[in-house]
Amino acid sequence: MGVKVDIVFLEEPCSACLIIFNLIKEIMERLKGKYDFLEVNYIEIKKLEDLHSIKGLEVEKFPAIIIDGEQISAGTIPDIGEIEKIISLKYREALRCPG
Amino acid sequence: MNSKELLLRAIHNESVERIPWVPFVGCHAGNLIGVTAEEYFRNSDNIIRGAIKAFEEYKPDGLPVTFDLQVEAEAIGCKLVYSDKNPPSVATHPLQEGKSIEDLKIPSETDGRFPIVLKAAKEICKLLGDKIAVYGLVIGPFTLALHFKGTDIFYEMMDSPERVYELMRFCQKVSINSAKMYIDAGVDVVAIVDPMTSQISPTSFEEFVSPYLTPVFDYIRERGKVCSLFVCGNATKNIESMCKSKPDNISIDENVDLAYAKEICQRYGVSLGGNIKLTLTMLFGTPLDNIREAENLMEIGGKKGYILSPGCDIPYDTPPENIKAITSAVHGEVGEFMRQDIKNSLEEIDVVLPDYKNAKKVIIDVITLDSGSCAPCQYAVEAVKSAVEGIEDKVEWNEYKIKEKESIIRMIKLRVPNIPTICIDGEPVYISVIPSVDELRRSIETAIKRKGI
Repeated sequence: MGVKVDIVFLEEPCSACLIIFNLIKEIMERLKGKYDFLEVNYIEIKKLEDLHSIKGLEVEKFPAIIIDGEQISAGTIPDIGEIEKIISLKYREALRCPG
Repeated sequence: MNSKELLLRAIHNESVERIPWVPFVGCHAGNLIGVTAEEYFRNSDNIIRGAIKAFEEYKPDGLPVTFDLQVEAEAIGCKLVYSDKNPPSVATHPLQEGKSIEDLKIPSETDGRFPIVLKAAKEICKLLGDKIAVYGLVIGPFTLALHFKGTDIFYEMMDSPERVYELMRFCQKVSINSAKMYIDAGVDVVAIVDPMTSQISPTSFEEFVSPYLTPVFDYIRERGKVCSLFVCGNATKNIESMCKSKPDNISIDENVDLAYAKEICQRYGVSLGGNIKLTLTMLFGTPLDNIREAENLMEIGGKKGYILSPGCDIPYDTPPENIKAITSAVHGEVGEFMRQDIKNSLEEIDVVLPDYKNAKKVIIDVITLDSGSCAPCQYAVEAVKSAVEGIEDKVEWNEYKIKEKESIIRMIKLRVPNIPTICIDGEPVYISVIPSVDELRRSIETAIKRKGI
């Protein structure tokens, strides 16, 4: 039982998106070290059709962060404190309603 | 007026006869010359060959030497990870790893990849500098500070602003020094590329960015060169603050509404560049998508103080045909471009033009991309609709959308060079110009009289 974080990113981002993606990766690595229930997946977009299969993706700006099927950022560097709050909330929900 | 003069006029917020075009070719140049992004960024000959190829293929009015926001960071001590298809990424942040600002040194011409980039800049200026404007791209102070400090900088902005000011002072010196090196190499425009400023509020921009940016722009102007500020991401909230930091030009990406940015920039006398969609249009779209977007943006940007460009650096695998399609829209050569695009199927399709001379009505052909999605095309069609009101019995009009092959053949047969074009009785009369309803009505009435209808 854990919290699933999907980081959706473009195979060929522009320079700015690449910087943001790397910073998000660093944030997620830090959080993974802190929360052992966190599962982080990186989903690379190689063609437009790839977008259709991503559950929870609503705003198609990248990199996007989706936590347990809910998109929480699109093309921005998230506040690590906010991410931690959402992760904790999702974890508590998962404990209350397992499966 | 050559391309360079045209661009320099536009960037100084003057009116020009044609909207200039600057494709931000960075790693994409590697693709153009058949090398990986890493091979491109690490070799001055490849950077030079890439720029020349882009010049030949895309008929630009300006080009960057290269597009790499990591040159300064690498020269100062950040470790980079290179890639086959992307610019390099910063993998370490020295100030997160125990180093202090005092340990950081302003890079010189001999540090990191500066020898590669500056050699390329000098050669590109020598080869192309009399024809087009050459841009030297310098990392902006805030993005560089983020490279040094990582996301911790956002907390320090709140908790220890003095430490951020100190870091920004250092980064400002780096930006000025890089600008100096590019200017000494001969560039015409120095663009301060500070994309991470889109991640902060206007208040933070004015506190942590503007005081360190403005002196960089002042320096560039003192050296007699033009300064531009590039941002990527949703910088909508910061456009006014960006203008107040006093660049000559700003360049935005697809996250900002061009009309909104234009209005603010004009208020401050700052010219504007942007903002073709990189992924949806340039990388994944078709040539027609690219023509449509270029036409729409040029309609909004207008001929005063606007430069057509992508929102940021062009992705490695962007099909060159898509970029050439934009070139054709800029240069009024869509007809020729479309003829080349479908030349293999020209023989399969035949279009018989009407006998315009002997037809019982005046025939108006409106050649468009699609009036449903291309703003100038829509205005052309609306002008025709209004102009023929009350004389429908004497006039027949049709829209031909060049997303259909038959319409391309028609466009070629009518010798229509660009879209939208209004033809009257088989003659292209209004080419890329939307006439007033009154003017168009008079032209139609003249044609009616000529035919004795």
